[in-house]
Amino acid sequence: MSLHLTPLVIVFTILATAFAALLSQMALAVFNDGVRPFLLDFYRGELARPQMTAIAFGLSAGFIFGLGVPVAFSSGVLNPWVLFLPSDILGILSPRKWIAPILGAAWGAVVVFGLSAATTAANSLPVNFLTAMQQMSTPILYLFSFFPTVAVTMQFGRLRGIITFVVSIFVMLITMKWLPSVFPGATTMAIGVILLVAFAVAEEVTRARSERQKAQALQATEAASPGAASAEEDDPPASASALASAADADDETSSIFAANAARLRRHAPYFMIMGLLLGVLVNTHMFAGGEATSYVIAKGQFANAAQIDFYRALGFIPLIVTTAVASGAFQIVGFTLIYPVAYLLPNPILAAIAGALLFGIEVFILSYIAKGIAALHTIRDASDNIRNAINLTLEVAILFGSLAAGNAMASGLGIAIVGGLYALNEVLGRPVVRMAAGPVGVIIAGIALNLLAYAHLFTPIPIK
Amino acid sequence: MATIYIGGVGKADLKRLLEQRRDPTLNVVVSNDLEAGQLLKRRSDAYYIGTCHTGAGGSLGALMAFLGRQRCHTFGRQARVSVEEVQKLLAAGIRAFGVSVDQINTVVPVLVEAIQSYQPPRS
Repeated sequence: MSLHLTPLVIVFTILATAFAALLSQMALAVFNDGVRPFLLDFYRGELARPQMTAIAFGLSAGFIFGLGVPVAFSSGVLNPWVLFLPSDILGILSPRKWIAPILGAAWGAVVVFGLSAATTAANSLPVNFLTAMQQMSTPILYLFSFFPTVAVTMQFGRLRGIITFVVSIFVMLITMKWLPSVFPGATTMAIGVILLVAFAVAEEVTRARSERQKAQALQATEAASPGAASAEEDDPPASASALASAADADDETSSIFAANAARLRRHAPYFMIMGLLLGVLVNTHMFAGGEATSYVIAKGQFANAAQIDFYRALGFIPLIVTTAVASGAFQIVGFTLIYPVAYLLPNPILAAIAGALLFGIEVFILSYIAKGIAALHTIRDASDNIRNAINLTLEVAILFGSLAAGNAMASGLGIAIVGGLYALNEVLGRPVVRMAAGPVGVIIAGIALNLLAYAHLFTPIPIK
Repeated sequence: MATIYIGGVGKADLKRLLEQRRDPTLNVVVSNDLEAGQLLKRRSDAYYIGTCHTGAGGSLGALMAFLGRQRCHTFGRQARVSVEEVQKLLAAGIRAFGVSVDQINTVVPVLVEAIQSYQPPRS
């Protein structure tokens, strides 16, 4: 496989990292969801810039080198970790506004030119591990379609989990048999998500009903025994004041939330520009939003990638919304809905318009979604479970894909090196994120096998 | 007896891990960041352990807004933690902890042990 970085990709990568760095400098947005909560104290001036930089670096470094770089290098597709985690740090680091875009642009240039140089070099080697990496997409696409099953089991237990599993398998079989033109993983995933949503809504309805009944029962007892009610009223004012202070605390927090949402709305034009740049970048299909989609986009399966990143967004939106209203800073990539939209749009101009509009809408509905999330427990839980389930299934899929890549490069020897490195990473306290441990193993195995090939200790086998 | 509220992506794993300790003095409540944030603001003997992939975003996002940064600490993706280290954090007034999901098994046992053995200064 080869990498064609068109001028459009190069220009928009550099523009996107430059502008993202500016947003981070102004404490308006960061990509790392972990850094965002700290920005509240940062723009209020309670946290100094050097301290804030140290926090951002500490929380991001592992993901840049342990996830972003290996995923980009092994897939040949840019990803948000490799572009926007560094732009977070560079922006926060910049003492003046004009420095941030320069540093951001420089990083964008390093990534696009570095990635294409590294890919060209890797392609000229006798053992081409980038071709071997193509093994990754099949396990990801098929295993990913079982994330709803995992999420249902986590949230609603064994019985409904098994039901979802069986239904999913049947849908996969039926699609393969009677709908040969449709990708079986797509329908399986869709039915799984529908079941998950159905279970969640049913749960939410029963919860609301039982709460209403409880309230009615309470009213009934109070009406039946006025003595008890008056006794309660005679209760020392302690409990009343405790309640009042609790209400104060809630009011205080909700006013912080409202102020933060207002701050974001005021800066909506900035986010719309970011949305525009991202829309074009994602539309080039040289940038993917997630670890799974990096390999899927690399294979040119844009519709599947869009579906995957849409479901992934369901897992991330509550997290992004909560951290955004709690801190007054947005996510560089918004609600991540720009990925599925821009993968599918036919041209960069439409993608640019869609990106700008999408980000504008997202910023304006932020506070409504925040209120909804706070009220709907089941939905929040479902979102956490979706993220967890996606991670679980992807870890399996990416490990399997990496072992398959090892197998493609050097059969048993490849499996041994990749699997061995994965196990080693586990006992070493996971310096590399689990999701990227396999791909890192493949890269290391690829380098080692090439060295062995030069030393005539290993005969390269053709990689399909 | 201290109550520990848990939340975030890894709360199910966290619950299982803490149940395995079979410790009757350990009071664990499965919660979430928005709920626990309000509870911790009112109670002084409660702690929160949040989990997410970074150890700070999903885990501590709302908590920082409720309690302020001074009362929150993230272990990030740090894999080794000592009881003394956590005791020091507790003495400094930290009540909410953020842990990365892939480090739950190594960090949380130490963290919980430290919380249980910690005697808050009488005020």
